[in-house]
Amino acid sequence: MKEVVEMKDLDSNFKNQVMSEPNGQNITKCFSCGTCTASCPVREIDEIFNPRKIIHMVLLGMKETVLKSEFVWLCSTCYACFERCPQDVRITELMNAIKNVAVKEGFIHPAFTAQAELIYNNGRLYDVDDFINKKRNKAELPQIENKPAAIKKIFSKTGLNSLVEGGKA
Amino acid sequence: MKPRIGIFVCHCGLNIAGVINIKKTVEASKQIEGVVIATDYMYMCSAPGQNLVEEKIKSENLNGVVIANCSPSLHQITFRNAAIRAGLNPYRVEIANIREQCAWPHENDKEKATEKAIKIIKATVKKLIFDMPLDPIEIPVTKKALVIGGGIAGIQAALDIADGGYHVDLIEKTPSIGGKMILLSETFPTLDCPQCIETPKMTGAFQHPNIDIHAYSEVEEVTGYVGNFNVKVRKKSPYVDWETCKGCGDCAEVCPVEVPHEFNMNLNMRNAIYRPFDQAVPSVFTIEKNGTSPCRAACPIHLNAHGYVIASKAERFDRAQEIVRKERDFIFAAAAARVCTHPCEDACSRKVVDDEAISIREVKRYITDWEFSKYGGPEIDLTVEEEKNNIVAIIGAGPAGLSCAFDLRKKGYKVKVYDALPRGGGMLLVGIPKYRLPKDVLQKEVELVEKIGAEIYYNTLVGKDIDFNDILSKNDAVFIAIGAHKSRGMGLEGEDKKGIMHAVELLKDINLDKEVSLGKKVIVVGGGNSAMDAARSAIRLGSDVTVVYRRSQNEMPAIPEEIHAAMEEGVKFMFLTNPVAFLGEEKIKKVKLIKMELKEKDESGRRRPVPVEGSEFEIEVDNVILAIGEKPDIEFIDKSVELTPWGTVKVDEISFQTTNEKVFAGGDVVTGPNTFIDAVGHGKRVAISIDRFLKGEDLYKDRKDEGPFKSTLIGDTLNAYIKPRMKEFVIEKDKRVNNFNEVVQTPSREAVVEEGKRCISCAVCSECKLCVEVCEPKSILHDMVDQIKDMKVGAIIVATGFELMPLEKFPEYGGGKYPDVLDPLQFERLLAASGPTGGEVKRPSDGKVPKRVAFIHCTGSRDPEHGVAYCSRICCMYMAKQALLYKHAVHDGEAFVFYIDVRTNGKGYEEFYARVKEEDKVIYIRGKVSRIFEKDGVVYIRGVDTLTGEALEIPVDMAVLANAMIPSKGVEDLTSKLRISTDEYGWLQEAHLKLRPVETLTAGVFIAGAAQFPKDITDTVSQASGAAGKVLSFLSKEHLTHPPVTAQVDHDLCVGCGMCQKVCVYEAIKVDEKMKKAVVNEVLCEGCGACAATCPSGAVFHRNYKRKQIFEMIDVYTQEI
Repeated sequence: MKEVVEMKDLDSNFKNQVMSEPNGQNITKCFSCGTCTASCPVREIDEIFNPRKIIHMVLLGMKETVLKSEFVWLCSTCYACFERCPQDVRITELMNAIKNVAVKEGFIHPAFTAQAELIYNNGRLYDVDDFINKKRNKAELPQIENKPAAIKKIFSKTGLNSLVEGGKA
Repeated sequence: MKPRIGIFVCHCGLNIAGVINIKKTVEASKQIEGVVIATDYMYMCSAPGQNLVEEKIKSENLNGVVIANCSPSLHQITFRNAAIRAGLNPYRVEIANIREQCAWPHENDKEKATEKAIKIIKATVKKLIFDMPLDPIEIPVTKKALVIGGGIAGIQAALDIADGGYHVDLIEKTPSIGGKMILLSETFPTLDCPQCIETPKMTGAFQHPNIDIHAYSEVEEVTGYVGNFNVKVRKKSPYVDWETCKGCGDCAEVCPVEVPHEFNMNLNMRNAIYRPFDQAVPSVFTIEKNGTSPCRAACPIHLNAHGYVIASKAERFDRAQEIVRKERDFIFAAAAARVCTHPCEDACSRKVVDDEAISIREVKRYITDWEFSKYGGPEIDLTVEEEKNNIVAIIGAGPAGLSCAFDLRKKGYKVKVYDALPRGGGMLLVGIPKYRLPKDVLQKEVELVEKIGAEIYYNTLVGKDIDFNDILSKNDAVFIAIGAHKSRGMGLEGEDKKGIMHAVELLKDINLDKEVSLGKKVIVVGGGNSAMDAARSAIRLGSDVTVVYRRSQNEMPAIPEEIHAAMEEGVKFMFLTNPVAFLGEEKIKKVKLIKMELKEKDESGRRRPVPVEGSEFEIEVDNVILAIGEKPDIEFIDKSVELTPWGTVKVDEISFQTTNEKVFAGGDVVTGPNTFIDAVGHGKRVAISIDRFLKGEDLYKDRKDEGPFKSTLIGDTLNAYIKPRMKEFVIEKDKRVNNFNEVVQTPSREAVVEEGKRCISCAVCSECKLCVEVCEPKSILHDMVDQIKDMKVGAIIVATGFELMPLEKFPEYGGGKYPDVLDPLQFERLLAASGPTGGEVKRPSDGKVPKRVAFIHCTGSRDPEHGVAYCSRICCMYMAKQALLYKHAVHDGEAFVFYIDVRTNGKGYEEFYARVKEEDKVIYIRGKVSRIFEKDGVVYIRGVDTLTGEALEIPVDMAVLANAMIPSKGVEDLTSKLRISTDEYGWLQEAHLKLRPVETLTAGVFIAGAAQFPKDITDTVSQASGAAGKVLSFLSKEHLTHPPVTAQVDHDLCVGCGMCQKVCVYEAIKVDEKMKKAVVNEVLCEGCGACAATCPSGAVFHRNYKRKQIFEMIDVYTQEI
């Protein structure tokens, strides 16, 4: 880690980017009371996830550090911080806004790319195999099959295909 | 008048000039028609600026001025005064607001802003051309002030005004002045205790010749206007004569009622008669009365059950006896203590605590037994008020008849009672078995009626032994109270067979000691109290008894005690069963029964029983006792009074008068078979009716609450004494089932006292009146009523203060759930020497000294999501103070303060905060607490130290929250009476936040202290003195002036529709009843314009805001440039 953060490394437009995402607009209301961090169950397991700090890093403009980091992907969306935040920063949703910016900027956690690929290729998150259809048969449910065509259309219409084909979204 | 107008454009530093092109604006202004000069200046409101305006008015001979600057609320008055100095009528000065309405919102588009500024000036000139020169309206002034709220703000304001030589009425809603400040331990940053610094002011106000303190009073109504307010003040009754009360406290010492002490933030208990705190001013006592307790309200004779239960708690059975026997002249008290169906217990709110009513009847039993053992019988006042000549005949010596006889005799009437039975008591005598009501007890109570001088003729059946018409003609009034003794039949096959009898007849025979013999196997048909009495009597005569009832146990009308006793004594029950036929030759041998099932509810609210087809069965019996109801035996009446279709006497439900005006009826003869206590109630109410009838008075006046009514009061359930309901003291089963000895015995004294402690005192004061006995100056007046005082004042200061957001608003912090999570005023009381612990810090849950205390800032404040958006301003400082005082009180204690920001913006505040951290080593943690929770009996604080980034979980003994400050309850009501406004949170709205902070927009009404917004004592006192200064300058004027820009009505156009009256919040415009035209009280009119905008016929207009002026302005604004 660097001794000091230099001004040239900060992007003062980063917060505006986050604020233009749905539910990112309340980030400037934060007065750093720390209720979110104290409420967070993820933080109890991994200290790297500190919502108060992430918010402040966004406000300061530490764009690259935030977007490149693993921690933005760790939120479990339990909404404890959202409920207790005195200032309506809507932290859980704000984390989604940050993730959206990350994806748009080409930073995406491999786990999410893998998921997207599964859906792109199978049309669903879980591959349909014989075992599943056997079980459905027993339960007198209709048989199903992988039908990726419709999903692929959605991917290409929304631009998500670039994600699975290696490009930027 | 040819316009000669001057335009003065202010730069306001860069506020205006930074956006608007001043030069261009001035040039454009010069071109406006009627303008003779346009100029600009850096700060027009400064002295040189004002001089410039004055000078130009004179030199250019201006007859109108437009100042283009900031909002008129800031400097209109400044420039109107300048105009006066220069000899120009002030109402020929107009403000063109080019700052708030132009420069500030349009700083991004300077060119357009300049265009808009020019338009604003042009439009203002157009208006000005038509402005009339006006003179202010003069108003006389009443040289007295009213201060509402007796906290430190109200006290300070009152003292200042009084010292200035004017009279002040100080209104306080609680029984003492002093407000919140007097409850504090010590005050920051000087650590003065309020007892030292506020009490001198409190007593100073009390002793001041110019101040009248009206404690325990509230403003009821405010009419009038500035300088001339008429105020109605309700002085709530303290039930103590404050003029003579010495404040000795003897009354509180004997008061057995305990309720939470609101002046100690409910941390301990006080009595129903109380002084808020030792330093109270005035130093007098007050009784809290909340209405009528549910028990007392539900009683048909309103016997004060609350009172005698509480007197028993105090072991004052002499007083309890007086309440039970004497206060309501209740001759059947001992009988009631045994057989009453106790509607009081059904209504008892103690059930909210543990589902079990106070055992009121058993308490009464102890009291009447105490009475009998002390006096040998009932002890009642037998004094006859004043002998009268009227004679009243009463037919029936039962509960209704004898109760009425006693009351009428007491009033002095001659009373003759006729009864068919050999002794008195009616159903109490013949219907209730001896094992429930020993006949010697009853006899002693019946004899009271003879002792007071009523004549009773027994063995005299009206209609046979004496003619009813004879009674009618020989007496001045008649009361029919013959009860309902005639048994109903079932109308079934074989009902007249030998061995079938009726319950009332069986019980009558047993009670009158006649020979009765029953067979081995007996069934009783019915589920009421008579059925239980018959069944239990039959058991005692040696029979095997089965009760047959067509519904289930839940629907049984008999009281539960009776059902349980019957079961215990071996009575069997067949529910959902009904007889269909009685079989046998001459004598009954078998009963044919059928099974029933319950369907939907009928009109009695009980589920309707329906026979199950084909479920008939037979059982062998020796006797059948029918207990299915009785009806009045009313044949003697003939047609002299009207009957109902149900065979009862028809009466008016308030007066009990029959269709014959001198004949009254009550008890079972009116209701059909009903309870004993209802009959007594009827008898007593008929006594009132007959008294009024014979005096020729109104039979109906003020009798609404005479009968039983429902009271929804619930006492303090949180601190209720935990103890199960007292059980009846009964003889063992084996010792009672073979005789008619009384089953229920006198309860023990201890049990009765304990039962008294269970009472939660719903009405607070129980009116046991123990206080009256000990009050040496005889100051306690239980019959005192509220008083309304009229006051005429010139000015009003509102200083109603604040309260705390309730703890229950903070569920994440366990507020209201964990006893050791306190609000800050509770903690103040724990620290205060005058508090419930004498200044020792002990936690409420177990009285232990807390060794770790967390102080949590911003609970509810700065939290628009869960509380309020604003900062409550004083919490940072009082939490620092509380942490310091805690550390001084508990030397080995640890104090943690959780904060978001620490705000110490006052003289000496930052130094104080530094001292708390440095000298007292209080640990400050930057971060809001996320939750407080309990784990294994320990309270944990979950938070984060945002400065190290560490999450924390600290076990503590106590947590003190900084609950947000919110406006006092009732302030909304007060503001509507005063016609002043509040902000979005309910704080009083000042006229201008910076420049008129103690004034309201309603002339003559001022504000002081935390009622305007949270503030510390320093600011509160300053503001109070400020408001007092305003009032003094008001009152010292010969007369007041009111701006003449008021509404006017063109009576040629007004149609008197009243729309204007509806929209006027100042009540300044009203439709004159005679003229049918709107009339304006110009003194009240604040010129808001609502009426003019509303008037459909355009009859209402404002001076200098005529329609033409407004349209001219609109024309300018809508022109293309």
